[in-house]
Amino acid sequence: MTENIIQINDLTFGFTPKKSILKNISLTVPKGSIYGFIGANGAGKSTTMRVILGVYPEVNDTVRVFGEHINKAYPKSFGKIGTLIDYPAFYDHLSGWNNLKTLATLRKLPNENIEEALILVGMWDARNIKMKKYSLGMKQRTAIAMALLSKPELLILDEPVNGLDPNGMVEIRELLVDLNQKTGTTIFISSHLLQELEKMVTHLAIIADGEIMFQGSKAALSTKYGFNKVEIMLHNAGDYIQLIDKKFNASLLSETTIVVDTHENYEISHINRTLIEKGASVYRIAPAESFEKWFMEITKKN
Amino acid sequence: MNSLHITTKAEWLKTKGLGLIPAGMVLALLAPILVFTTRYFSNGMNIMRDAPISVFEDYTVESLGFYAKFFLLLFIVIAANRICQIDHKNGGWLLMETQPVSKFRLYLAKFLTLVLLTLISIVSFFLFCYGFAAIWQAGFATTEISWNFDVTWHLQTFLKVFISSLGISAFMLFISMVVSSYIWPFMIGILGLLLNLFSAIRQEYYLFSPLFTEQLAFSKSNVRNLNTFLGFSEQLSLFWTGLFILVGYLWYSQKSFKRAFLFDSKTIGFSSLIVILFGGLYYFIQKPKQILKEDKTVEISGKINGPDLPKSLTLIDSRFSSTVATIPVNNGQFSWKSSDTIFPGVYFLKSDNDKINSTLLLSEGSKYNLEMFYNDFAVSEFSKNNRKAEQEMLQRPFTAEAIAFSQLYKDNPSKFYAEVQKIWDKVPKKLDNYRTYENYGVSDDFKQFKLQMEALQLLSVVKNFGKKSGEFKAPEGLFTSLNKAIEKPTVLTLQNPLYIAYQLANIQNTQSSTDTLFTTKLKNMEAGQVRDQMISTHITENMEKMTSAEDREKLVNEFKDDISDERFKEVLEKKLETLKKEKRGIPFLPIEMTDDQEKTVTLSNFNGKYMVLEIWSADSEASLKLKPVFQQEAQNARWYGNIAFISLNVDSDKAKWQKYLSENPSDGKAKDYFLTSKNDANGFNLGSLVPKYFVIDPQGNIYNFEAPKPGTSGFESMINKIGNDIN
Repeated sequence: MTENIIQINDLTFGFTPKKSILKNISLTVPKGSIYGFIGANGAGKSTTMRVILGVYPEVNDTVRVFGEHINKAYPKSFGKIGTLIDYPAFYDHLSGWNNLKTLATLRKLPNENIEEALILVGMWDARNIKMKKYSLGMKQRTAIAMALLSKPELLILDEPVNGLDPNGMVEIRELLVDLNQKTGTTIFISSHLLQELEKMVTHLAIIADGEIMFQGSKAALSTKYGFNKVEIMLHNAGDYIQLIDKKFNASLLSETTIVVDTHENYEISHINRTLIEKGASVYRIAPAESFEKWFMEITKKN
Repeated sequence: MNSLHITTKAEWLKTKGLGLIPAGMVLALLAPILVFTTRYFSNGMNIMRDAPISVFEDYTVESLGFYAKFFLLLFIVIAANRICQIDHKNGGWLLMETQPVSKFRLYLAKFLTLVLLTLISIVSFFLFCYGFAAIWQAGFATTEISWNFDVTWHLQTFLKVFISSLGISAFMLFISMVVSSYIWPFMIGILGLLLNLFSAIRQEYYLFSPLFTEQLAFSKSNVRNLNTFLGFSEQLSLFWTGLFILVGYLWYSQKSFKRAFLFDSKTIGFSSLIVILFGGLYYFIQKPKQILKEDKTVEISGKINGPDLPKSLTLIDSRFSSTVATIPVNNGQFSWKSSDTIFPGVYFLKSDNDKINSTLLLSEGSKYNLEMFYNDFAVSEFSKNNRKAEQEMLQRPFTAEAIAFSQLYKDNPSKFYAEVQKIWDKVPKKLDNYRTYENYGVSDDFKQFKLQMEALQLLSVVKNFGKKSGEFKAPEGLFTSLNKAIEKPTVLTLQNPLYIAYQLANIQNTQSSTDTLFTTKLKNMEAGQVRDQMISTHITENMEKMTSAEDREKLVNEFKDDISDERFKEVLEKKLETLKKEKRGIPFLPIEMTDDQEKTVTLSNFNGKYMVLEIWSADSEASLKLKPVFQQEAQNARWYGNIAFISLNVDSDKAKWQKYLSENPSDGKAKDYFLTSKNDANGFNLGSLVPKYFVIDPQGNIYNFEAPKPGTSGFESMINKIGNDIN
């Protein structure tokens, strides 16, 4: 049985009893996963993360981390958790080094951890500069270093690439994937930058207006919502549709487009080869629907 | 504990670069600098009316008021605000709360960080005081003062400052945490400071303000007066500390007031428990305490510090000026205990060297431990005793503003009487709320006595107002109410001069004010203590005004047989003798003298003022020793516009006088003259009497030819008496 690092069962939360911000939320974050938590601004991502971290009080035993209810788990379990919530938190009158030193002191970590974390995020050279002089990107990197400082088992990152340039985003994404693969660190990451998460997550949950619209593995999402449709574009499409095996459930979308259902890449190659052998002029093959398009629709509904 | 230590260490690291340590030190430095500057520009006026105790203690006491009541508070307000602001900005709270540390430890660590910063400031203050004190004494002081360092005193003062600051720190941390803006917590802190200032002006204790504890702790700057090592202000401070750490933590951990205290029935129940618990604790702490008298014996002990220590002290009953006990003094230490019944009232403790003159309020079970310091110029007295509340209440006026109103509304009697009515209406409440800064309250009996004293005081003011404005029409209600208050005089009221004066005035008012009728009325009163005192007071007052010894004797003889208590007769006999010795009323012929500009003046130039004369010679060692003391007395009495201090040199060689003046420039408060007329012009050979001190009244008659020497309690009492005689 897969161990779940975070488990939420039917969480409802609000600052007043009458108005709930989060409604019946259930989530399971498996150990070793990169779990994307996706939602538009104001959907409830940060609130959920704050409840998970015990920042907002929850008393109904609906949230567990490392198998323990958060009220019991914290603050001890924070020793195994690295966080970056919302805007990077830091002390701007201190240098990068002293910011990390403050946390290292609290976590009883040696200076070597600070060095490693700063080098990892590329902030070693700027370690003695006060953080108020850092650019937003530098602050973001330092905040990530703060989250990685104790080599945590679980990383909870809320919009961690905000403010980074495209290269920086790629670097951080690679860093996180690398961390996950090498050390097995579970990463619970939120973003509204869907393209970023789409490429790196193994699991994901979609939140809209305080409700979970989907949660599970990426493969399960494809299966459930048909992200296996492929569009094949060619001249005189009607002349060739009969040539495609019925199991691919081909349909004519327009004079130049046929839509098929595929589950493996080789199936697309097979269809392509069949059509070309019969003289068809195939000029483009593309996924019929994107994850992003689906997300836009699902959040629009709510 | 280890975890708390680590959390505090991390919090401490966070304060790096905020400039709080230098700020704390600078604010600690300002008070000693202020004292230094004041001393420097007051041209040696550091010889104050309080006698010096030690170089370090005096400097610390002088600086303490500025620091503990203002600069320290200001520092706590700034520091609490700053250390919370760093977390209010940029998500600092969230960052901390996602570390493996409990919220309680985080909150407590923040408090400890603030306390540590405060501690550094306080330690700096004491060190700065010692440094400045040493610099002053070594380089600028004009008098020798002991370098003694009383470790217990400094430790007690330090602990008092420190513990009294804890509640303020807890409160300001709470406010700075709850209110995320910078300006509001700062404004609340400043409001607390203003409230303290207001309390000082109104002489009220604002115990409800958590920022009041330092103000309370140092209502009297010197801890030598405290009955206990630590006391009320510290208890109150620890109470605020507990309350605001708990409330602050709950609020902080639940993120809102509602979630913390009113979210559901469970939190409401817990909140109610906090209110009940802390409300009860507050009630218990702030309730004025009455000191329980252990037994009926009266004890007076203590220590005297100063040059030429007295050999004995005399305990005197103020009613008859009679000696109750003579207490031997050995190396400054004295101790007296008596199981005899003592009449409740005011007693004086006087030393045989005329340096000490303390007022004690004694009754069964009274215990006094006194500590006195004196030099040539002044006396400082500290008292630990179980009659504190009564003693302090006795000296505190509750209706003093009535005199000011009588001047302010001299042309508007109805307004004046309305103000007096308001003042009188407030007296019972003021008495009920009365407490000392150590939180001692008084008994109901004593409150009744004080109420009667205030009623008598107001009656006196009202009557004087009526006499001066020629319109004695006090509203009936006010008059009845004041008179009703003294219908049943307490034991202490009966022996009080105010009550006697009131009774005498009553007789004068009810008769058509001829001497004969007044005398008859007085003589016909029911025999007893009150009549004795009234006759005694009447005679004494008249004797003071008479210029002829024969007339004085005649007056005493007229009433002598009407006095039943022999002790009052003795008092009158003594007074008669004293006035004779003082040559009261004998005209003093104007003498001629010159000033340093060779200008000739006579004593008649000063007519209209009391003239306090010092007769001295540059050849007399005793004269030379007392001359600066006389100068200082003149300086001390500079506020009395009706007294002229004259220092008259009777040397045969004028050059000696001029040489002395050039070597010892005077501050001019006592005028220096050289006697040019014959020094036996009045039949006294002044040249043979040096040093001699006497007083001439505004009419040019002798007031007291045997005036006490300057620097003694007798001299000070005499100056106060004539200074207040403005008629």
